[in-house]
Amino acid sequence: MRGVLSPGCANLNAEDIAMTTRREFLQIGGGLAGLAFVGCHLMAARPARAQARRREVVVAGRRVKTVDVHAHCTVPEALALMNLKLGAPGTALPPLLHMATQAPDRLRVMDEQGIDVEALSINPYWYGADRDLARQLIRVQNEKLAEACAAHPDRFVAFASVAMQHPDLAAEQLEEGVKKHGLRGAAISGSVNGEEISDPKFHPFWAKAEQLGVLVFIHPQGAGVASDLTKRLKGNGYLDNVIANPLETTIALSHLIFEGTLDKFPGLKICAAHAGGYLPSYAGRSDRGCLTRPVACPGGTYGPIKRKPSEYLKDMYYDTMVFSGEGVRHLVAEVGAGQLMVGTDFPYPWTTTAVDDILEAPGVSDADRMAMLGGNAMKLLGIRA
Amino acid sequence: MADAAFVSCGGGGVAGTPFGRRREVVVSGKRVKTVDVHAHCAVPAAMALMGRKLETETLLMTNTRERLAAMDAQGIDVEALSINPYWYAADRDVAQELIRIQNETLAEICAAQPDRFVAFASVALQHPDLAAEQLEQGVKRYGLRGAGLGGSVEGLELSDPKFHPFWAKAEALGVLVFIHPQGSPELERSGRLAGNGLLTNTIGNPLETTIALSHLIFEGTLDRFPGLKICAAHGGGYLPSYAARSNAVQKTFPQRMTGTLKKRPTEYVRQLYYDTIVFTPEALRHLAVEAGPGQIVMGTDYPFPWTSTSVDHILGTPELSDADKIAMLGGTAMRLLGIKG
Repeated sequence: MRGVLSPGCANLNAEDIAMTTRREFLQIGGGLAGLAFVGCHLMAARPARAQARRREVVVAGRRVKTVDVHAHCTVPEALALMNLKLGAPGTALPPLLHMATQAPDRLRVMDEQGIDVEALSINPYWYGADRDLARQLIRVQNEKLAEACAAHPDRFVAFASVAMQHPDLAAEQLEEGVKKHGLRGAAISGSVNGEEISDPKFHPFWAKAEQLGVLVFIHPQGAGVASDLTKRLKGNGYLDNVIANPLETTIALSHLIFEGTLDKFPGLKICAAHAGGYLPSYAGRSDRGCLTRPVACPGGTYGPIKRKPSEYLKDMYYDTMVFSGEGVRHLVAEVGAGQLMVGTDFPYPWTTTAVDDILEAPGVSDADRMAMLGGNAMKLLGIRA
Repeated sequence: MADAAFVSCGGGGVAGTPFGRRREVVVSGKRVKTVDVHAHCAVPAAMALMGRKLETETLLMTNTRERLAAMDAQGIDVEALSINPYWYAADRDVAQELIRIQNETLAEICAAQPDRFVAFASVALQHPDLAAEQLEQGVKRYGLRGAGLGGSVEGLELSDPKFHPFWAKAEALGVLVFIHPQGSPELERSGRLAGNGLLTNTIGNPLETTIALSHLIFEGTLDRFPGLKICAAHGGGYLPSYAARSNAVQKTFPQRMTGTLKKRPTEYVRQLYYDTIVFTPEALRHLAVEAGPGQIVMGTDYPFPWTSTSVDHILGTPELSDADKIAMLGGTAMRLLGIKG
């Protein structure tokens, strides 16, 4: 259990305060730290006017369809199977995550920020479930995701949830999610009950994802980082999210590269949240480590892998959650504009300028801006123009 | 910092060239004195007090022929030597003796080749009042130019109030404190950095620096000691390249801001110093944008072969102005370390 949320928040109107009061019992829960949300500041992301105009993003005189690949939601009927509840004490699940009841509020925020389509995902909380429970939970969840998309087919697509702790089942669930429910890929965590996602145990899942050619969205859960390290992330500044989330992604992607998972499944399409954590911006260190201490990388220059580590980075995809035009410019330089897609982290109010960061990134061509704003995601997620 | 304090180190003179021609770095027609702030060495007589063995002979300063040859070939005029802490578990008496031997020896090394070497003092940070004394003695008596620290001390963060006496002294003396990480043992224990790829270092080291600097910012240490001059190894780890995430948390999770800071986190990022060990021109360019070109000083990690092209890395980053390049190659470090032109 982490800190109790403070009910006291600045800049709230009366309606917001009333809503906050209903939520003030929320806490940031251990196992759900990646989802960690918060009572009131969410409200800051809501438009001031109920009937805000929909922002239409235009590049070089052309309307661009924008796609946000990093948008959270949840399904209460599935949460209940793990004894979790929206807005319940000990969890960090704001009601705004609920698509069936809160879609209008969500759409208002999307309209204001210029997001045309969200690719919805649910952060895993079911990796401790046994096979039967996991099957039931994922079935409910993927059905509800499909319903949420069907209710607004021009505004939402979704990633299937899968029970990674049962890799063969996860492969089935992904196939069913894509073929039966029209979901566009899978969303997984940065590790599974302490095991790296490069573990051979998960090969059946990766094989299926490669075969289907669908995108796999990896979202870290800071609490997935070892508890010993968490001790070092206490104190002011919420470092157990600010550092632990990008760190978990950095570790996960590093293992996918260095353990040969990406060699074994070269057709995989992986999208990492939070711009891939720390990895793309310090790719040079991944390349040099093995050269500096070859004994740590037996079997080849970089160990038993086919290419230079940083080359794999240019095959993966990332959201653009770097908060500034310079951050986007840097990511483009490191991995290429063809690998980048808008990410907002909705409903957690990390950013309200995801579109603007791309529009303002210096030295980026219009074609690259259009690709990042929506073109890349439309192709990868099968979204029609 | 008074120039008069530097007795043992510094000064002019021409170094011998053991073998090979010494590379002279020139920017816009002017010879630039280059300084490497990230250069390791070892003092075996001090290590013996902790029963420690030498990791590699290239750390030794008893024969500097090979080191000088590498410096000459790479175009490094001056190394600012430091010793990675291995003594943080030592009791007060051992720590006192160990640091005395080590700092005396560092001073002798610098005195032997005053135009090629300066050094950071070692300090026993586990005994903060002693560390403050050792730093003062190192600077005033031995002519050392600052202190070299680890990224944490026996599980305690550098921001722990226990260390305030040391930070107060470093601020009062106005000397540079070089922070070098020592991996992330907490994460190693979990097994998450195991396997191929040297992740214990490639992730563990930048991570420890990121955590250390984040605490110095968020726990208010940099507010309490605004005059501190801190230089973080390996480009500051992951912090400068993703600094905006530290700002965003103030807005996103205000309830997790349990302390009030005087500035936004990125403003502290722009007052710290970083070495250039980020390997690519793009990464150096980004670091310069995030931290400011005046905050970046050249590093090599000698004798560990992470890079042998630190000079070319700076020269080959097209977005940097000549003034930026001169500052990174040596100008800023000369000012911070009291090295004469």
